[in-house]
Amino acid sequence: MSLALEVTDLSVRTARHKALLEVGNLKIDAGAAVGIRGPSGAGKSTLLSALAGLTDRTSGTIRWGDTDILSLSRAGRSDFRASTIGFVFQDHRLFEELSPLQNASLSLMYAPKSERRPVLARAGALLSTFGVPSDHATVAPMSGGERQRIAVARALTQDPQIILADEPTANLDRVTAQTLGNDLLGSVRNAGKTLVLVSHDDALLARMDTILTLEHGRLL
Amino acid sequence: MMALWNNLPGGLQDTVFVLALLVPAVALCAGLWRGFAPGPLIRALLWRYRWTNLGYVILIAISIGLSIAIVMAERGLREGSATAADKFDLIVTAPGNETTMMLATVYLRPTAMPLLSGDVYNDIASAENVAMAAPLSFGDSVNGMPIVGTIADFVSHLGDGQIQGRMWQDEAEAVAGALSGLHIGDEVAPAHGIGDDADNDAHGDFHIEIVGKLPPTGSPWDRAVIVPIESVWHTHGLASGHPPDRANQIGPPFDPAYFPGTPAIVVRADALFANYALRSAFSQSEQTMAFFPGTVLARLHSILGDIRRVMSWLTIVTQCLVGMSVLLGLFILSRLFSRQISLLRTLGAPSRFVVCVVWSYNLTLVAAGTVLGILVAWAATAGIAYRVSNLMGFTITTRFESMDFAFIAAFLSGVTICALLPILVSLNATPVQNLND
Repeated sequence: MSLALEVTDLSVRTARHKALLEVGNLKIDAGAAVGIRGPSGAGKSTLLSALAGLTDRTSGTIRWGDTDILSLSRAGRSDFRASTIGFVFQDHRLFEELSPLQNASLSLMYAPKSERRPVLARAGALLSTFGVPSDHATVAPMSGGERQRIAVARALTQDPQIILADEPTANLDRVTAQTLGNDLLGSVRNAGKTLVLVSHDDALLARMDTILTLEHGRLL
Repeated sequence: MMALWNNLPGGLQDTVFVLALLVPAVALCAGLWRGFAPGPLIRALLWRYRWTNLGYVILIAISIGLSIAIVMAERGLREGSATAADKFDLIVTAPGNETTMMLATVYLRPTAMPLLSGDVYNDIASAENVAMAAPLSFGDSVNGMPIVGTIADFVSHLGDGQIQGRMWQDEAEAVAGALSGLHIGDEVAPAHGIGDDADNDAHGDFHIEIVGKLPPTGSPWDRAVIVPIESVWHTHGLASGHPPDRANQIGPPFDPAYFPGTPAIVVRADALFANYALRSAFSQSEQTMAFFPGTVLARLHSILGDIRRVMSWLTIVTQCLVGMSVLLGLFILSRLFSRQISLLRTLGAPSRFVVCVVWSYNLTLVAAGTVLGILVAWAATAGIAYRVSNLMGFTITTRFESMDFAFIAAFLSGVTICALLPILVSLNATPVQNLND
């Protein structure tokens, strides 16, 4: 299950109307893995946020399948993200005091009761697949690589059709980064999900179907 | 409906009222939690900021505790002073200031008082409907505690007939108050005067043996040593109140010719209604003044009541300030986990879930602070009661009333509803900005 992306005349501005991002046209096929690179401050993270409907002062259209996320209400965007988009951040953004399984299955806390058991089962299975020990009471003593794999598991637990990853290997050493890349790409490709990944990691970008370059808020 | 409400017992009405005040908070809680299971996340946040939370809870507890303690202490003071005067139906003294006379008689505050003669005493004691006329005499002390001379009937009346040990049988025996620290069999030497000016040698080697002990009365008399009035007269070189052929007699009747005088007489009528006639009768003479200590106290309490009204307003204003401080604190605390709020929003958590998590976090802190505040209020009131009891001599009660709980419930409900405000402000922030902070 995956969704294609079509962006038209996307513009994200600051409160003082300064342009942060301007994308005239962008199309990503369903199930494609797209890498985005560019210097710091080029607008890569802003683009990912905009694609998830998280930015203010945004105009244009961002159509995931048949859904223009910018036309949705705040609640509608939340629902869309919860059901359709999985997020992986540069640093794991886990809750330190929760266990690996609780972090990976965070969405069960707000999922309908009927979906909680499957979410928990999927989170457990993903952690097992990624080789993350699940017997820790909290994630506090775990390594950066383990934590990031838990974050990837969290992004995949709801079985979303889209994965947005913002420099997921930036804080990892080369070996751990490669392992995480394998885990992420393996899961995404196996399930045919659409992946948009921002990275400075050339090795990881080389494994993408397409690489886009962003500079000064514009796609080259 | 009103008839049904009016027919409910007072305690049940109070409970319903307190619960009704909590309904908005409970309804809000139920509405926010419906369909969600945020428990582990709330616990995680509470644990993450545990020291900040602890400090915040303590601040709330102290604010609430002291606000309630002031009201409780004032109430305890009022009730304690009234309880102390319970056994003093009618007091007859020489004309003067009723408040001063009451303070000297009921609260045993050392005061110079003019004396009533034996004729006056006999007139009062033999008046129709007088069941008991107890002359009092003051002036000596034991270990800083006043020695009061009176008659056995009054001591029995004070102790509701429940004296431990026995009543005195001669002028060298005494009944001690419950909090005097004296025990049956103890021997004490009376000092002339009380306080720093007391003269320990004035009465030679005269000793008093404690033969009985009063149960607690909640009055300054709990710290008094009560002796036959003849004992006080005797140690001061005065007549014994009885003719020479009955010089060893203890208690009434007294012979006016040998009656050295008494500063106050506590009168008890044989029927409640008779008290008013006796007060009127004993107030008509130029030699006497009769008053109900309860009436004098009521007058004092009405003055206190005015102060109380001011204090009530001050308490409300203080509570509003506390509420605003709590809200301000919640704003600051909400900022503490703005990243977590943003993360949840980015992951697609519904706004109600985010509100539920942060609101429950706030509710936990405010509720914990409120519960702790009740303990602080109790402890503070107990401390104030202890200090004031030692100072004034009468017992101050430490107890909560339904209005205290209504006040607490209103505070809890109000603050928890207002706690939505910082959350809604947090929700309005752009998640991207907070995530990158």
